[in-house]
Amino acid sequence: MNVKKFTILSVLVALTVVLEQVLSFLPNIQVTCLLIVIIGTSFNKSASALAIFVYVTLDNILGGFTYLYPFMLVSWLMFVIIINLAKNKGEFVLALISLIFGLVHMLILAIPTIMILKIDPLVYLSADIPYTFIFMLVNFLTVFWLYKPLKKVMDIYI
Amino acid sequence: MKNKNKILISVIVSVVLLVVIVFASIKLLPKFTSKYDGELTIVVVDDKEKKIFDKKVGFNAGETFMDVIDRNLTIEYESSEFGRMIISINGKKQGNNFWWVYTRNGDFTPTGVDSQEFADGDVFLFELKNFG
Repeated sequence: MNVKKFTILSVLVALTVVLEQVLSFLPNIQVTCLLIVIIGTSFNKSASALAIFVYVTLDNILGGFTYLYPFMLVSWLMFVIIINLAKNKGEFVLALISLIFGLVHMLILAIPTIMILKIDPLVYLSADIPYTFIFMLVNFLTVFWLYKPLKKVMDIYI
Repeated sequence: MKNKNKILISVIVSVVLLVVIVFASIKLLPKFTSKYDGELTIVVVDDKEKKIFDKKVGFNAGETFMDVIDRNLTIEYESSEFGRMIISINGKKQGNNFWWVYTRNGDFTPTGVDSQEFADGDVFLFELKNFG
């Protein structure tokens, strides 16, 4: 990876972290998934994985490290690799993957929370349903509508 | 993809997700908004060691153990000098060396069902055991 690509990747990661913080007052409304899709489709697997590591670590530094850190890392890494493998598919497929990821991400984070905090799984999942579906829908809509125009811009620079 | 199609797909996905949220909430919410003060787990195992009942059942303050089990199981009793004795649960009768016994949180209790104490979270296991 050359310096130019590395700089663009750094800016994208910085944007991901900053936009997540800026939009944090809105529950689960964020463009993180869209930016990760842009990263996953514009860079190779190792660069994308590095971006995820930096993003999740910065997010945890800002929000406070918890037991969720490794689970977030695994979940987002899995997502970016799947996106990278599906990078030649259209925006609908990428949006669909992002939608499903919303549910998978919630389940991955739910398992340690239920086990460590000893919460009734049904209570936890019920309380989390609206937020998960907001996350899924926002992921789908942002990727479906904004991926293509953003990717065009990205392709100009990369 | 044309914008018209995109709008249509977005609306369909949004509506489907909304329906799923409402359906999942309706299905899951009543399960943890209990109308009871506490909860017991009652397990009933028949003579073939098959679970014929395994449920969390609710109870309210002031209820006796008999109130709780009678509300959830069909039990026949027989009076004895030690109090009432279970002879049948959900149609499974004792006899031929098979007797109904029960434990509270894994331990046999010194009392009969009449005066059985219980607390929130207790697990009661009723078994039709062979003492032959």
